[in-house]
Order: sequence, then structure tokens, then C-alpha cells
Amino acid sequence: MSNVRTTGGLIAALILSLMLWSAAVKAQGGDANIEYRQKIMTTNGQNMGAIGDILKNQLPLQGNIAEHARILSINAKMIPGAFKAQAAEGKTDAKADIWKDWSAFEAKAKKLQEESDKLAQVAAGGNMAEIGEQIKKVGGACKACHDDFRKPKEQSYKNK
Amino acid sequence: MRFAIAMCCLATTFLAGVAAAPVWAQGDAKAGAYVFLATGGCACHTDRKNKGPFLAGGRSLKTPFGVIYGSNITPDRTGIEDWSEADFVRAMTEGVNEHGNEMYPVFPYTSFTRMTEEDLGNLWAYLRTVPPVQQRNKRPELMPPFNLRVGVKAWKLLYFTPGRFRPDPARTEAWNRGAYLVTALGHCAECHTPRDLAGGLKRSLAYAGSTDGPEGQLAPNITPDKETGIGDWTEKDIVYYLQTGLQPDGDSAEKLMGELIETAYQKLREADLQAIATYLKSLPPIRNKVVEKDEKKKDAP
Repeated sequence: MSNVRTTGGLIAALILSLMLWSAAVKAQGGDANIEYRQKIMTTNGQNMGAIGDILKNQLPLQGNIAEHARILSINAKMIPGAFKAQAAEGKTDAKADIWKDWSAFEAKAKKLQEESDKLAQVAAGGNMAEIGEQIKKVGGACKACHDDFRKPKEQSYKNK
Repeated sequence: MRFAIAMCCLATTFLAGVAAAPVWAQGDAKAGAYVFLATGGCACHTDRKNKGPFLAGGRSLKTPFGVIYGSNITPDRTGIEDWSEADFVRAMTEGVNEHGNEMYPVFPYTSFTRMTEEDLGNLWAYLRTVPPVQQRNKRPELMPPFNLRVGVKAWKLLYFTPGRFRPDPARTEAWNRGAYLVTALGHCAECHTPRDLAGGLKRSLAYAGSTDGPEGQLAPNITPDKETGIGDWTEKDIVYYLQTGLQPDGDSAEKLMGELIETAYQKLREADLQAIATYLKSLPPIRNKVVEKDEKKKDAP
């Protein structure tokens, strides 16, 4: 009787450790992490693009600019968590420097959050000139992180 | 009486001489500051990466032929203090320096040759007001035979057509202004047109993008091709981009172009940016894939 239980226990332990091991492997190099964080980044682009559409074409939706800015701020808060898993291989332009310079990466995400918060404030004021100036600052925050931590176009996986 | 007439003739000749004088008369530094912005703020002459002083040179410019360093163009002895305005105009429009030596065409005199006398004079006046910085120029590190200045003479025969911009009377004023801003001051073709093995621009692919641009960066196809260029951008998109560095897909301009927008192009008058947009949209669309289009793809950067 105890033999069966011991064997059963051993098998269970084996299965459990296999599961944990594969979860660990997935966490390290998983495409799912890449797919997830790319959605956050695409959402950022779409909201920046939406604000641009409103400003360029003077769409009667200026009240939405503050909302788009709030979305950007929420996304910015999620960026560090989304990039925690070290996945630099495959269909990604994330540079390995992200995990080498983690505090710098985090700081850049924080800057995006701050500038987006400011945009939400400024947009509520309705002064188009001020909104125009602040959108440049938000774009600058995007660029500052991309320049250090995203592969440039000439090295992008999309152009290989 | 005869004396009076003689004096009048002399005075008239003198005045006519002054009026007809080329730009050696006082240029307008304030107007020159604007011309400076339209050229991209002479970014090649400031070593931004290493926080180098304004226009004091030292910036390494990677080319397929080796590295060349932007020169000091401040009015210091190590810069261009001893240059005359004529030296400056000759460098900008003929690619010959103050000693009469050929200048490597990394310096885009191939575009600046189209500048008007007025803009050249004003730009010169502005450059004289810039704080002088003592910084010796670094020697270029070009591979032979491209390091031989005599080779530049041959290169010029093949690839350099000196001459001022000629407006097209069949086109609108805005188009002509845009054409001047793009082909003379902005010198956009120098980065956005691919080059052949000798480093000359491939004219049949004008503005169709280059994978080996300045500092090794990719410069996109900016012809109005819908598949591979900016054909789906409106003129408003182009103006907004030059004002903010933000593309229609919400992504921000990268590295060098981002720097040029931030430090220079975004400060241009909206009418001028509109003129640039008008000109770019009028270019023949050229199918030349340099970059994957993000919007059509499922994956993002």
C-alpha cells in the first residue's frame, strides 16, 4: 500500500515540477509576453494618433483629448509590469538593454505617465496652443524611451 | 556747372555700384536664423550626443566610406573666423573650402548650391553672431580611395550640378516655396534618396528612401506611393508630423529625424511647412520598400 502512495507521490511531484519548469521557461522566452506588451504599445500609438486626428482636422471632439491622455497614463503605469518578463528573441524590437538598465527603463515609463497626466490637465483647460505644446512633450517621452530601448527601423525584425 | 554734372555722375555710379553689389552688404542675422532652422539647424555641426558646444563640430558622421567629423563653424580661429563671406558662399554652392580644396560631399553643397544669394547672405550674418568656440577640427577617417580630395573633383563631374534654384512658373507660389525648402535648404534628398556605390544620389529613386542613411539610420520613402511611401498621409499629416514628430499611426519620429524636428523644423512657419507638404505630395510616387508599414500589420513595434 505505501509503495503505491510513494510512487503516486513521486509521479505527482514529477508532474508538478515539469509544470513549474515549463511555466518558468514560458515566462522567460514566451511569445505571449511579447504579444501582450505589443498590444499596450499599439494602444498607445492609437491614442496618440487619435489625438492627432482631432488636432489636425479640428474635429469637434476636443473633449476627448483628456480621455485619450488618461488612457495613455494608465498604459504607462502598466509598461514596467508588461516588460518584466525578459523576452528579447523573436518577433520583437525590444532591446536587451531594457533588462540591463531596468531603472532607466522604468524612469522613462514614469516620464510618459507624468507627461500624459499633464496633457489630461491641459486638455481640460481647452487652450489649443497649450495642448499643442504638451502633445509634443508626450511624443518626446515616447521617443526618449524608443531611442534607448527599441531597435531602430534599420534593425527591426519587420525589415528582416 | 560741368563740375556739378561730373559729381552727379560720380555719385550715381557710386550709388548704382552699391545697389548692384552682391550680398557683401549687411546680411540680416534674424532672417538668417530662420534660414538656419530650415536647413535643419546645421545639426551635423553640433556634437549633441556628447553635449558638444553649439556648432563647434566634432560630431562623427558615419558614411559607407568611413567616418567624417562635422567642422567647427563658429567665428573662432579654430572655426571659420578667418573666412570671408565669399569663402562661405563658395563652400555652400561649389563645395570648395577657403584654401581652394575640394570638400567631401558629406557636406551637402549638392543641395545648398540652390540657395538664393539673399538666404546665403543672411545665413552668413547669423553664423557670425554665434558664440565662438575654440575646438580644432578632427581629421576625417575615410577609406582610400575616397579620402583623396582629387577624387572629389571626378565625383563632382558625375554627380554635382551647381546652380541656383529656378522657380517653375507653371506652379503655384506655395509649390515653389516648398520645392525651394525641400531641394535647397532642407536638403531632404541627401538622406531620403538611396546612393550608388560611389555615393552619388540615385536620381531615379529620388526621395524613395534609403536603408543606409546618415549615421547608418534608415530614412523612409517619402514619395506619395501608397504601398511603400507616405501616399496615405494627407498634407495635414505631413505638417503635423513636422510640427510634433508624430506620425498618423501615433508613433514618434526616431533618432536623427526626431532631433531635426525638435531642434529645427518644428519652429518653421506653418505656411512653410504647408508648402513642404504640397511639394512632397506632388512628387512622383516611387514603389520602393524600405520599411514595413505598421498599420497594415497585426504586430506592433
